[in-house]
Order: sequence, then structure tokens, then C-alpha cells
Amino acid sequence: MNYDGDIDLRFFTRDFIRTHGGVVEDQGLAMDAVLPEELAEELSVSEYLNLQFGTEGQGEGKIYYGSPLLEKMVTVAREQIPVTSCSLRFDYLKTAGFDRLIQERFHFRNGVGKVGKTAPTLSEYVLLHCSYLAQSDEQKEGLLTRVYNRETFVDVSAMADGLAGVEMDFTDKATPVSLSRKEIKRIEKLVQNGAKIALAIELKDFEASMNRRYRRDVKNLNEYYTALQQEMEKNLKRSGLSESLISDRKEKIELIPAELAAKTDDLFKKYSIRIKLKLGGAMLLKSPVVKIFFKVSVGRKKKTITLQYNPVMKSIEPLQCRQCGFDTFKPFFGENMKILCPQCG
Amino acid sequence: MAKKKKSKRKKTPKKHGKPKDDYARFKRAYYFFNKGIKHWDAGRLQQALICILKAVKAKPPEIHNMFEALVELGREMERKDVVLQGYAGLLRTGHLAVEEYPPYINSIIDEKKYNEAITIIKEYRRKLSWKDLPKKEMVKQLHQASSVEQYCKDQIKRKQSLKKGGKKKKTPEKNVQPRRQKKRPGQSLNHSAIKSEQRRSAKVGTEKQKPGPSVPDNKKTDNKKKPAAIPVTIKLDNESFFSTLEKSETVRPETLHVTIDAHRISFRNSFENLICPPLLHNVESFWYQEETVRKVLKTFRGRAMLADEVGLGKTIEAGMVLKEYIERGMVKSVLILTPTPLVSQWQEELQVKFDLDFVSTDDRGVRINDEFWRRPFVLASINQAKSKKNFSNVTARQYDMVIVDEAHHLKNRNTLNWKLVNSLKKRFLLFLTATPVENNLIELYNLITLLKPGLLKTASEFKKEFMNQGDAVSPRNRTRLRSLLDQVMIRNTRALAALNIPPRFAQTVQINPVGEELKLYEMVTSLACSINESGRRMNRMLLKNLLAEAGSSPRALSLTLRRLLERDDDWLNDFRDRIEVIRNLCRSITGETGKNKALGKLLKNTRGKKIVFVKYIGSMDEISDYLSWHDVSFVTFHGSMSNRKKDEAIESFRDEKDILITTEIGGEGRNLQFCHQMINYDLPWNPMKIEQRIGRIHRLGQQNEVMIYNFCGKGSLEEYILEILDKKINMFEMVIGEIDMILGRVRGEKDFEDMVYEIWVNSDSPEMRGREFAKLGTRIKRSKTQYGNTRELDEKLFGDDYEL
Repeated sequence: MNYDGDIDLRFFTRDFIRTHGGVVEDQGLAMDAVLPEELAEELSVSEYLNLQFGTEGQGEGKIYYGSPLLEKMVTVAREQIPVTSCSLRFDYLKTAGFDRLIQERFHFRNGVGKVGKTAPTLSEYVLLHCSYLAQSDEQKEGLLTRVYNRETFVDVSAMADGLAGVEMDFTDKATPVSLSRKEIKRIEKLVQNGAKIALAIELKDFEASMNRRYRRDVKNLNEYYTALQQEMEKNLKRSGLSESLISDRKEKIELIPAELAAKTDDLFKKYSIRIKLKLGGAMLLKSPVVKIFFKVSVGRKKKTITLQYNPVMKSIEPLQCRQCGFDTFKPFFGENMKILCPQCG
Repeated sequence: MAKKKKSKRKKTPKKHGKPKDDYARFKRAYYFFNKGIKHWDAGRLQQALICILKAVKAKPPEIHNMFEALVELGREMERKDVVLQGYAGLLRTGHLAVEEYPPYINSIIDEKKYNEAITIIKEYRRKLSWKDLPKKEMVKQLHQASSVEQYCKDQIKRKQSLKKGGKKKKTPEKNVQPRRQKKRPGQSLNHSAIKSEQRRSAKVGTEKQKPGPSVPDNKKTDNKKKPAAIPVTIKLDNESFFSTLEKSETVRPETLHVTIDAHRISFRNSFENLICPPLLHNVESFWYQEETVRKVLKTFRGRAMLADEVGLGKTIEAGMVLKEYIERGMVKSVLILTPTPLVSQWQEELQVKFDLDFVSTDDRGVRINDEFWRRPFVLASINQAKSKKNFSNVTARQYDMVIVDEAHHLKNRNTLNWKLVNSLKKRFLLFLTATPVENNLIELYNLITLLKPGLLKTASEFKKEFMNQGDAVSPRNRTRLRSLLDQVMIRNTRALAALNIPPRFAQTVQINPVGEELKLYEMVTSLACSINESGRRMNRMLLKNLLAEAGSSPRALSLTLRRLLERDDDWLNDFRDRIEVIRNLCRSITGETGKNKALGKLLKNTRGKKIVFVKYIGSMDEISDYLSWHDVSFVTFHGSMSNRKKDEAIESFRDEKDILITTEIGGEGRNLQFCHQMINYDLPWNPMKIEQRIGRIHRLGQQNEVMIYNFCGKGSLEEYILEILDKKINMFEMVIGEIDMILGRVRGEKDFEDMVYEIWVNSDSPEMRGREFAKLGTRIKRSKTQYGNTRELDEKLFGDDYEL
């Protein structure tokens, strides 16, 4: 039986201290650490620490979910938005068989095509780790990872899963990160669109739960106001009520629908889900790819489009619709051979 | 050539049926759907419709949301065709709620599509029968649905007769005129309305006068429009993007990893992301269970009453809460208290599903002494824990967490149960009960006071504020009481969980023993009675086993008898001769037993896949030989097979063979929902074991009605069990978990199987047996009635107010 939920915490603690310039030594179940002065001050602990994992034990070095030291370390680590840069290395890069891959992946709706030349080259990508906080009656947090091709701006988030098996050469030296404002704006737009779909899946249960509560509360509210109105109307029939009292009460009854609408609106606002998406870290990637010049014919018209083979995904990257900007594997060639997605074309 | 191209194109999309395409479709659909919603919000209904139709065209996985929107939008635009399109989509995708059927059927009848209406009414009736409605309401609705169906049939007949009439060109005028139509059932039109309709129809000479059909519209009782779905807005923190990507410097990869890990840890820290689901085995945790766990951790802070309706998996919820705390290092010591008969069941679930080892009061060879109560994880019968011998030991120590199953046993504060739990030193406390209130509100007060003392103030204050004089079950100040209970109680209903599993039905197959079989059963019974009379309580287990094997098959019995004869126990010497005779008799009975013949006949006469459950390997061998002899193809599955063999067996059953013979553990954790028929070749005496067997196929994902065939020999103990469980209380058609609620009220500290065993061996004659079983049946039936009353009371009291 393994009750050790502390493994993740051990690794995190060790790496956190080391990346902040400290030294850590394993002592069986515990760890000894020497922290740099600044870090010790920031964490409000002494420079020499005996770290113990779990709720038992004594001293300021106790680490478990909810412990003050862990919370402080997490806060410090989250304050940064680090960017790393790396190049991907492949021992083998595909040189043939692209026709079959394209046929499998793409469906050209009004044209035919064939592979022309191919050329190995380098392509740049940006991997973004975004933390999200969805707030409604309750809140839910999580991480969302997106990857975009910096040249074509297509969404290749599937790359993130494949990176674990790829050799990566990281740049040790600090180099400036300076994407243009235009590029950042474009990336933001892509993240915004991509997050809508990705979070719709991720937060499906959360959203369903909020909708259910909202409906339940609205139903209760309706029932309450219906009963209230009936009660007030019934009371009007009592004998001995003065004219002014009757008209006063009638006025109140007339106000009920507006009050109900306002309360319903309150509920609507209360349960509406607002998601804040913040960049938590990024990675700039350079990867060898294969550019494929693909000759397309639509009737007499001809055009050569560029497709890109991505060795991480072991697949061809999608094309981008020139009208709505969404990715597509089912291009339609419109006027002037403009690439359109099924919805636009 | 053109044809060739076409066919090629048709084939291509199949290759694209990959998850990434789904994702792209989903993406597109949501783009148009969101666009449509924006148009809708801005009052541009036509544009909204176009966008939503585009979204539907993309066929995303969550297409039913779009169909729902179509229904709403169609209503707003007053366009019946749009509403109908939406309804049709919802029906097609299986997302049409039962309440939506009546308006849909009415709309179809308005369109005069009577055949279509009849099909949908049939579906509606089927869905109604799954719904947990009060019986009266159910009967009423079914009756009205039938009336409308009849109306549709009449209309079809009328149309046909009109057509025939139309063909005869020179028919007298009165024949051309439609006959006066029947009033639509369920519709109360006033006299003048009918007359004016009739006048109009007389003018036009068509069938237009028909009053609007009406299936009882459940939704109309609300008289309010269903509220729209809540909006989701996403806001990007621009600053974080620009400050990082525009002007910063790269760092080492470890720093990025630490930051991402910090994010992950902080989510765990806040209970947002549960750690335990991937650590569970053979558990399909449902969304409402995970939400419940989150609520217990986040909102209730570990002190809560889980009062879900029966069958929704309170044990799983409690286990998940426990596992979550343990994994987070917040709980190191636990005490679980349950009624005695449930101890072993809990122990097994904790071990198998949650990988948690508990020492229990049921453990063989474990002494219940001071040391026992000092163990970190203790599972105890509440009766043992509260006994004089143990009370002080149990209450002396500190527990991180205490879980009490069937917590309604704590309803009375004057009992030892209540006092025990009150005296325990604990941080987290979970109560599990489907019926928090059985007789009056004070019971609820007593339970809540254990969980959160002072929440409901003092008993007299509680009575004054919340109880009506002369009515102990209808609370006053409901809203206030609800807001208080909301702080400690969660009660999910079957409606919320939407566990739409088709119903199940049972049929008893009574077998007349042939040849020596009757003699064999009588001899085993007589042997069991003799050994029992010899007063050796140690033999109880053995005797129960012998009798159960006799009810299963001669081969199962023979194997045990052989082992028995090999034993060297002194007490056996008095019975050796009789055992030898019985064993020889067993061996003389060939495979052509009454039971096997009945099995063969059933397998031949019914179509589709069937699982044959047996308790003993001996019986499995006997059936295997019999079926092989008769050239019936089958596959076997049992505990001693390797995992690979097991997988192969299930695969073979799914793809090739129609019959699976399996032991009790059959298919545990494997999906067998593709089969909807099962045969209990022998019957476990423990009803929970029967439920476990049924649960293998009667679970989420089952599309068909489940049929259970129960075999029993005439005059056997199993026949009496079936008489009680099936005929008296209709167990096979009850919701899973209910049988335990019922038996829990009867058995006290005795298992059902012990009760039936004792009647069997202690009765002097078949008549006496009959009388005793009848008495037991009456007690259980009474208990079922009491349980039904309690359930109704709790439904009335709590309804869906305490759902997630």
C-alpha cells in the first residue's frame, strides 16, 4: 500500500531550492537544505532547513499540501513567467511518403494535387503554458498548453504531447525574447480562440454544474414568486380592506414580475462563468521540418501551396483558412485559389 | 469516370475520422454557435438561426446543445419547423428529456404526421417507465400517452378511409365529408370552441376542425420558460503576454519546470483538481461523485452528511474523500463504523478499489483488543465498537477521520450508537445515509448536531424554530432550515445523476429434479441437519457450503465431499458412511440433470448473448461438459485464469460466442454491457452477491432491458429464497442498493444467508420450513413498506434542494 503522496512535493522542493541558488541534500525521508539569504527571507525561514514531508514532525521545514512553507514556495515560483528556448534534434527526418500522409490527412474538396518538391528546413514554434481561473458560483483552476507555428500561425498544440520523446538542446545563455507586438497580438487571438474550444471540453462538467444550479435556483425563484403572487391576490379578496390599501397592494402585485426578472438576472450574473487566462510560462522552439510544395489544380487553375511536415507530430500541419483564420484539413479553393475552410467555402 | 471520382470522394472522409478532425469540427461548430448566440443576444434571430444551423452542420460532439438552442430559438421566432428540427435532433442524439416529449409529440400531431407521432409516443412511454415517478403519476401519464396514441391511430385510419372514399369519384356528398372527429384525449376544449372549429371545417370541407392534441405537458406545469444557458467569457491577461514575450530573457529549462509544477501543486492545494481518480481501480467515478468529493473537501471542509438516493454510490464518494485526504497527507488515521453485515463488503471495496488496507472486526484470527484499536486504519462493526469491552478503547484515541455508514442508526441521541460517535475524537467526519429522517425531524437534528454541534442550536430552540406542533415531519421556516443544512448535507438524486439505465426483469425457472437428484438433495439436507444437531458451530460454514453446492450441481458437491472425506477430524467419523453414500450418489448422476436440460432448452429457445453465472468451478465444469456434448459453443471465465486469458475470453464472447460461463468474479471491472441476458444457474444466498452479478450487465451503458433467469430446484432452499426475494419483494426489479436498505431493517446483526440457513436446518418438517420462510417473507415485505415510507418522507423533505 503506497500512501506516499509526497513524491511530487519532494521533487518540486528540491528543484525549487536548486533553481533559486540553494543546496539540497537527501537524508532518507527528509532533506537538508541551505538557502540563499534572499530566498530564506522571502520564505520567512532560516537559511539552514531540515525539510520533512508529511504532517508529522516538527519545525518550520514541514512540507505537505496546505503547509505554510509549501504555499510560500509555490507563490514565489508562480510570480515568474519564465521563457526558455530550445532546438529540437532528430536523428532521422522523413524524406518520402508525403503523398500518402497528405492523402490520409487532407481532403481537397474541389481540387486535386500532387507533391512537387520537398525541402528540409527549420521552423519556429511557440509553446505557451497558460493558467486559467474559471469563476462562477465556485471557481476552478488549471493549466492549458497551446503550441503555434510562428510562421503560419496554425495551431499545432498536439506537438506538446510529442515533445517528451524528442531530444531538446536548451540555450544555457540568457538571450533576449523579443517578439513583435503584431505577432504577440496574433498569438493572443489564437490563444483566445483555441482556449474557447479547449476549455469548453475541460470545463464541461463545471459549466454543466453551474447551469444546473442556475436552473434550479431560477425554478425555486419562480415558484416562490408565483406562490407569493397567489397569496397576495387571495388576500385582496378579504373583506374590510380599504380602497387605498387595495390599490397599494395591487401596485405591489404588479411589481412582482419586475422583481422576479431582476432576481433572475442576479442569478444569471452570479452563475455566469468568467475565465481569466494568464500566461504562466513559454518555450520557444526551433525544429527541423520538411516543406512540401504541393501542386493543386482546380479545373484549369493551378497553384502551388506549401505544406509542412512536423516530425514531432509525425504528421502534416493544417492549412489556415484565409477568411476566418481557422485551421483546416479540408480546404476549398475559392476565387483566386484562396484557401477556405468548409464553413467559409 | 465521374462516378469513380464520386465514389472515391465518398470514401475519403472515413479516413479523416480521427480525433483531430473531431477537434476541428468542434472548433468550427463552437465558432458558429457562439456567433449565433451573439446574434441571438442582439435580437438578430434570422442570422442567429443561420449560424446555429451551420454549427449543427459541423456535427460536433456536443451537438445536442445546438439542438436545444434550435428549439428555444424556434420558439422565440415562432417557427415550428425550427422547433421540430431541434426536437428531432435531440431525439436522434438521445438527449430529448422526458419532459420535452409531450410538446414535441403535440407539434408533430399538429403537423399531422401521425405515424411519426406514434413512434415517438412509444419511445416516450419507454422513457417514462425508466423515470422515477410516483406510481400514480406514472400510470396517469402512461394512460394519457396511450390515449393520444390511439387518437393518432384513429386519424391514420380516417385518412385511409378518406383516401379510399376519394378514389370512388361518385360517392354521395356525406361520404366525402370527413366524419366528425374524436376529441383529442387530454384536451378540454370548451363547447363554443368546438362549435366554431366545426363551423370552419364545414366551410372548408377539410379535416381542419380537429382540436389540438395534447399529451400531458410536464413542462407546462412550470408555466415558465426554461432559462437559457449561462454565458462563458474568456479574458486574456494581456500584460502577462506582452511583458513576457516582448521584452524578457530566456532562462534555464529547470526554472520553467519548477514554475509549471508550482501551478499544478497550487491547484491541488486548493482541492480544485482531485488527485485520487487516477489512483482508483475498477471505479467509474461519475461527474456528480467527483463534484460531491470537491464539495466535501472545499465547502464542507471534511464534515458532511452524504445523503444521496440509494444506488448512486455513497461508498465510492466516501472512499474518494478518504483517498484524497490520505494522498494529500492530511489523514493518517481512520475509523470506519458500519453495521456488522457490511464490514466485509467495505473491507473488500477499500482494498480492491482504493488500495487501502484496513484491519477489521471481521478479520479471521484477529483479536479485538487494545492493540487492534490502536491500528491506524480500523474498520469496525458499530456494535463491536460500542460494546462495553471496546467503548473506552475506541474513544480513547484521536482519529483524523471517522466515517459512519448507514448513519441513520445514530438518529436517537439516547442510544449507545449516538453516544459512541459523539465521544470519538475526530477531525473529519462523514455520515452516509440515504434516509436521514425516518420518523421525525429530531432525528435529523441529532445527526447534524454530531456533525456540527450548535449549527441547529439546542433541541428546544430547533423545535421552536423549525417544527410544527402535531406534525413532526413538516418543517417550518424551510428556507432558513435549508440554508443551514446546506452547510453540511449533500443529497444527489437519480434525476440529477441521469442514470438512465433500462429496467430489468426476472424469470424463475423452476426445475423438477429427475432421477436420483431429489434423493441427493434430501440426503444432503438430512446430513446437514444431523451435523448441525451435533452442536458443532464451527461447521456452520461447511454446512452452508454443502447445501449451496447441492443447490448448484452434483459435481460441485462431489468435490467438496471428497475433500471432506480426506480430512482427519474426529467428529467426521460419525458421518463418514453417510458422506460416502452421498458422494457415490453424486458420481452416479450424469450430466443429463434436470437443471442442465433446462439450461440447454433455454439457450436454444432464446436469442442473443447470455452470461451463465455459477458459484462453483465444479458446476462450471459440469455445464461445460454438457454443452460440449451437445455441440453448443461457449466460453468460460474464472478467477484462476491469467489476465491475458481473461481478456481473450471476454473478446471471444463479445465477437464470436453467444454464451459465457463465469464464476462470481465474472468480468469484474470489464465491460459486459453488450450482453443483456443472464442466467443464475445457481443462486447466492446473499442478496448482495446477486446484485453484484446483476451489476455486471445492468449498469451505465446498457442499452436494452436486462433479463435475468433464475434457476432453482423444486423444494430447494433456493426456491424459498426466490419466493421471498422475487415474488414477495420484487428484488430483481428494484434499484441497486435498495435490497440492503430493506434487509438492514430486518436482519439486526444477522446476515440474510444465516437467517435462511437457520430456518432450513432447524425446521423439523417441510411444513415448518414453509411456515418459517413465510414469516420471514412477511417481515421482509413489511420492511420494504417501511423503507418505502421513509424514502417518500425523505423525498418530500429534501427533494432536490441539496443536490450539487
